[in-house]
Parts: sequence; C-alpha cells; structure tokens
Amino acid sequence: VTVHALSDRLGPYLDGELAESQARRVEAHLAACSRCRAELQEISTLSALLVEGAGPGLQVPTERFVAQVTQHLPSRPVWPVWRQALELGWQAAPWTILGGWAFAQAVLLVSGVIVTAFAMIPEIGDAIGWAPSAPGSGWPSQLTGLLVRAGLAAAAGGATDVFGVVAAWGWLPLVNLALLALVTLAYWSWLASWWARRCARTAVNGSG
Amino acid sequence: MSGKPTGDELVLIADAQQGDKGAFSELVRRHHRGVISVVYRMCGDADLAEDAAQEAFIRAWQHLPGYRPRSPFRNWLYRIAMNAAYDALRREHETVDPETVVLVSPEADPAAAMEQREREERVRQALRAMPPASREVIVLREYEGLSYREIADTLDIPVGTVMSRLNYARRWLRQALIETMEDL
Repeated sequence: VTVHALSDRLGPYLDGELAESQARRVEAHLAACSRCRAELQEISTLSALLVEGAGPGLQVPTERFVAQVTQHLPSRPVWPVWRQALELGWQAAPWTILGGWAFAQAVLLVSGVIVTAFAMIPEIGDAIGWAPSAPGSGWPSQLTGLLVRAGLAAAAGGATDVFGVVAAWGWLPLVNLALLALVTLAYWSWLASWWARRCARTAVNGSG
Repeated sequence: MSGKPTGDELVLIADAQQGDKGAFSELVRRHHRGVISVVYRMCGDADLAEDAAQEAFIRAWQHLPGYRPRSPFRNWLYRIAMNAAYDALRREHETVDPETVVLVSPEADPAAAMEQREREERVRQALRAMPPASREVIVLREYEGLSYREIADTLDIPVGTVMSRLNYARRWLRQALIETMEDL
C-alpha cells in the first residue's frame, strides 16, 4: 500500500464526491501516474471485496421484527426534560413578556408621579422626612432620596417649571421607549416562531 | 431517500411523536432493513445485531419527540443504531460464535461455498478489528451507500473528517485484506 501525491483524493474520486475541477485534476494525474492508477484499482477491488465478502446480510422477517419492537415499546415517547422546559417556557413567553411590560409600566408610572410631585412641591419631601439632606439607610430610602434630589434639582430652576422637570426626567420616557421596543421585539419574535410552528404543523397535516 | 422526510413519512413521524404506536410500527417497517444492516455490519453477529436493532428502535421511540425533521429520519435512526451497536458490543464483548453468523450465500459448489465462507470470515474479522471510528464510516459508505454529506450528518462530524476517516479506513483494510484481495 503506497501513499502518493493525490492519494487522499482517490477514494473520494471513486465515490464521485469530488468537485468537477478536482476530479479533472485527479484524472489528469492518473493519466500520468501508474502508482496512483494501481492504488485506485486497489481501492476499487477493496470495495468489491467488502460487498462480495459481506454475504447476503442478516435477514429478519419484517413482521416478526416489527411485532417484537412494538411489544417492547413504552406506552408513550418520553420527552427530554430540556424539551419539556423549553416547551413550557415557549408557551409562557407571551404572558411573561406582557406581564413584565405591564409591571414595568406600573413602576415607571408610580415613580414618575411620586418624583414629579416631589419636584413640583418640595414641601412634601420635607413633610415626610425624605429630604435629600437626610437620606435614610437601606436601598429603598436611598433610592427615594436620589429621586427626590433629582426632583429638587429640577425644581430649583423653578418649582412649577414643567420643562425643568421634563429636562431632569428626560431619561424616563427614553427608558420607557427602549423598554417598549424590547417588548415589541420579543413579542414579534415569539409571534414569528408561533407562525413558523403553525405553518410546519399545517404542512404536516396537509401532506397526509 | 437522502433528503429530509416528506409527505406521509412526516405525518407518521408527527403521529408517532404524539404516541401513536401504529405510526411508529410503520416507520419501523420502512427502516428496519437499513438499521439491521448497519448494526449487523458493526457487530458482526446475527443475534447481537437483531437485539441491537430492536434496542435502536426502542431508543428512537423514546427520543422521537426530540427529533426535528431538518435532517433525514434515516440518518437520525442510523446515529441511534450506531450507538446501540457499540453498547451491544460492549455488553457482549467477544461473544461472536462463528457458527451463528448468517453470512453464507447458498452455493451449489461446496468448494466455492467454502472459499466464499472463508472470504466472508476474513472480511468480517477485518471489520471487527478496525478502529470503531473507521468502521462506522466504512459501513455507512460501502454497505449503506450514504454520501459523504449524509455520513457527516449521521455521525455529526465535518465532511472533511469523513473523507480522512474513509481514507484511513481503506488503507487499513487494504493492509488487513491484502492476501484476500490478491486472490480476487
């Protein structure tokens, strides 16, 4: 057994697996190389030997085999755990997306109302003791303090200046817009996958 | 035969995925010869092969909901059959009794029959002695006639790897069967 320049291409050539240009290259080489011609002949002989030497193969009566397999089948196919989880997640996706969006809207609305109220009427912050000068401990009161400080900063330019408040809280609508875009994208992606599934199912049922 | 499942096979697969044993039986009826052939060439033993083929179909039934018809159903079955064959070989480990092997073609001439039996035995032993990765590509190519792309899909390896494994397998077999080849 020898290994030559185009040796690795001879098997694929014999199997008809080479591109036309490569096959032509191999043919040109074979015309000039007796060693590769001999090797090609060996590969061809080997294929014949494998087929001839394989005998008639194992003959199993079809109906007996089918009956034996059917007899040993569990009652239903077992869905892999990851598939079950994926399916459940897919089914729940639109509700999760809508629920998340509604929750985010509620949070933004409530926080927007509170902060605007603090910004426009600073006395409220003083009255409930959440003035920026005396922030409480813990993240909820720190966050509130931050919001109040921002609101007061806006109010400093004129407590009733709506434009000042908007300028200070300009990021709120931006965040809202980004959130809306994200939710829309997620929802449309889900709808697209739902539609693809529906088409696949229709194709399967329709082809019967 | 080489493409993705279409038409009634898709319907059978969809029904079987929902637990329809009748639909699955029809799929077994359609593909059992190929699966038995693959495991038989891999195992080299009739009893072992039949058990492994049954095991392959039972595994296919269990994992059927995970099958997506992006690739041919036959290739998916062959992948399972290969694994079932390996498991059967591991379990039985050298239990081949040459007397039980159903490889002999009916020959009128006893001398020719003897020669053929001897040739088949050499081929069978050479196949069994091959490295498993080489054996599976040779079986799929030479006995099942799969294209390189289909072998790659079945074994989940790149086409380039199929090519190199086939080259190696053929060199290996030529060396192992050199005397037998000279007799031809």
